[in-house]
Amino acid sequence: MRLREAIRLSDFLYRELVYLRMVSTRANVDMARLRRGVRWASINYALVSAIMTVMLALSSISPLLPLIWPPQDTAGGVELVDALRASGLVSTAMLFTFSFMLCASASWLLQEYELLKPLMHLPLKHGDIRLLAFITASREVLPFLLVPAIHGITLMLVVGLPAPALIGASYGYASIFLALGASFSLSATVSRRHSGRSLRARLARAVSTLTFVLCMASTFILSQMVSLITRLVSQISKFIGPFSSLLWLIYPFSAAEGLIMALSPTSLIPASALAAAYLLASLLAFDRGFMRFWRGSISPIYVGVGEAREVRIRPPSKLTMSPCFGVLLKDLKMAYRDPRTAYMLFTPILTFLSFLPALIEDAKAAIMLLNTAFLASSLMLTMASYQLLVAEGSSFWLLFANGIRKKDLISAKALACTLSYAALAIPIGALAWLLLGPLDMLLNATSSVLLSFAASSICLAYLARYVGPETKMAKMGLKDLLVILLLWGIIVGPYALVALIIGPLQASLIAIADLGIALIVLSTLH
Amino acid sequence: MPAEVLARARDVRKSYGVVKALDGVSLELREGEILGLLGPNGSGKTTLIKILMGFIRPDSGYVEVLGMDPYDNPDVRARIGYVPEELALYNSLTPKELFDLVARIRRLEPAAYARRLDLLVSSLGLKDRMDDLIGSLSRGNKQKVAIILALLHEPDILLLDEPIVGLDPAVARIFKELLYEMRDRGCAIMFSTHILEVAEAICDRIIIMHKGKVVAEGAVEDVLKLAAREKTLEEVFLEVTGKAHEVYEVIKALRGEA
Repeated sequence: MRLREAIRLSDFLYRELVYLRMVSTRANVDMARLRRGVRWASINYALVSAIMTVMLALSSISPLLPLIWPPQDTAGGVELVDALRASGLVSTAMLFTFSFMLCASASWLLQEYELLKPLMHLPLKHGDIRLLAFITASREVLPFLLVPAIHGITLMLVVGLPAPALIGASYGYASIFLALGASFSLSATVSRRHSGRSLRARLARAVSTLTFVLCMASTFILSQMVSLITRLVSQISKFIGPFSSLLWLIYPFSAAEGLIMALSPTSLIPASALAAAYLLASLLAFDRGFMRFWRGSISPIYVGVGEAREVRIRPPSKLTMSPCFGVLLKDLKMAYRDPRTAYMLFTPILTFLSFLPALIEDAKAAIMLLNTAFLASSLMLTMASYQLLVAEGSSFWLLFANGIRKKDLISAKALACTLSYAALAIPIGALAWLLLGPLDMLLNATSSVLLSFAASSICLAYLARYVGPETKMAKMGLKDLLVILLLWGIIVGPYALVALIIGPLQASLIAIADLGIALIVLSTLH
Repeated sequence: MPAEVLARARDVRKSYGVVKALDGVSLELREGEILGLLGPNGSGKTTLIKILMGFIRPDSGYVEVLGMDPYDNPDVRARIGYVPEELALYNSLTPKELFDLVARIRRLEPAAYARRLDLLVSSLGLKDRMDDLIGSLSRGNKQKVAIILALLHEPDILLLDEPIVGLDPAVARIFKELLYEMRDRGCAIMFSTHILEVAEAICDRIIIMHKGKVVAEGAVEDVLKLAAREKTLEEVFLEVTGKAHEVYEVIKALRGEA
């Protein structure tokens, strides 16, 4: 199949991806809306790709720009070395991060919804379908291929030598291919559903979910840490002296050290050889990752099926026989098995991690930062509980046909998020109390748990007002989002003010009052 | 003594834009009977069942289920079992987990629920699939899950929308026996299907719908009298829906007899 034809055919698969993204947020997608969605997606894709490509290029070359205007020779050697090191690290880290994130999303959707299956019945060669799959999954990443070239040209202008430029560019391409391979491999891993109750099946499910969450979280953390990298680099350089003989071998540090080694004729050959080796290794990783993805696309998603075994039917405990508990247990089980839902429940951890760079920079402000993180988590959890509602998809009929009441449904969603947050917040509050001193930290952590439940319940009560047995997808428009933010502000605002002006003990009374209001609101629902 | 009417609809109308899904439908569903609901695609069967479930409010007309308006009294669903035409189940759960979820929502007594579940999964041949993820099950096994969900709580009314799709003949036979057993215990069953032989075999009364209206109603033997040629439900179906001529012309063309 010719490349032009493959690109044209991949438009169909891409349209299907756009459709799936659209229906994940709205139930009725007719042809006119889909056409508009595809047009918008194309414009969006072009704009986002262009903006991200420019951003990545600027990030890669920004440490080098002060050296160009005016140009400096190696008499400012320390500055040149630091600039090269920073540029190498930032370029590899950001290219890897963004390539991974974009490709992971598209490739996972391709596999999860078996978009390639309809093509299997057509008279197309497997190689042609593979090409289609590759173009569709990675089309948002392809413009990034310009960035290493731009980085290389800038290095050439700064240093005046071709070797660092070639080494810098090759590490850039290596990062892109490595990220693509990792994202394809990740999609293959998390889309396989391990069936059964054996320990192996359970471990396999846990590993799949954890892998996805950690990967998504690591890219988030990395993107937050990028602003610190340049500062950390100069600190790292003081320590790496004795270990520099080892560090230059390890990716991504080899990208930084390789640029510096390329300045000297004696170390040029080993640096170039290592860059070439990493480029080859990344191509291999890309090939292997894509083959895993491809094999996953054409084989059954479910693993472990076919081993029929009779199960003894045990009645559930009488203590658990309530609608709220039933839905709560269901959501937690589905979160554990569905990586996307698990990722939503991990958002509180990400909230705390997003404050990590600030915490590293200013440990004295830890108390204030942690309190801010507690408050921010309550907002994140409101969104996470809404996502749990969306995760019902078109299964609302099953709940309502069996007589569930909205108050039980909403309580269960709010509890699912709050309990997972409490498991994090209370230990952090206790740890902060032990390490930093004031009992207030534990009090604040506990209050934030109550606030989270209150905010989630009240906001969900508003969002779920039109949810019923015929709902195909719970949705939130812009107006609803503004109302949610307003409600969250009304619930959390008084608490924050009292905590700031008076103290945490009095503020905790506000949190208890908010909880009471939430319970009253829930009791009015049918 | 005439059987008690457990559900009734009187002159029910429902439109979706310019499309009239139901156009003055009236019927009664009595205890201890199996009422077959037949009709071509788009005739309003699913809309009618959803109105009786209280999922949709009709534009006009009167609906009563167990003495209450089902839309305004969702508690009535505690005594109704429902199998939809389109199955949307939780693919990440196992059948056992899904049954437990429904048992918790319905607050069933655990021991009785376990006994009932054991009977149903054994009867329908799902016992060796209870720990598989629902997403991995075949269409037929998913249908079994949906049927068991509807029967778990021994409902007074069963509303079944194409329940036999995907079931193999052996399981379909057992399912029919389950329906007979529930009918004999007084359950009122409404059964929508395209498979006319099934309707003919198990239904006590049938209703044929076409373009939102009831075009034939009565005991099977009475409805069969409407047939112009062979005394089959298929023939009646074609006659009352006005499709007989069109279908026979197509058949002639396919046979080269035109």
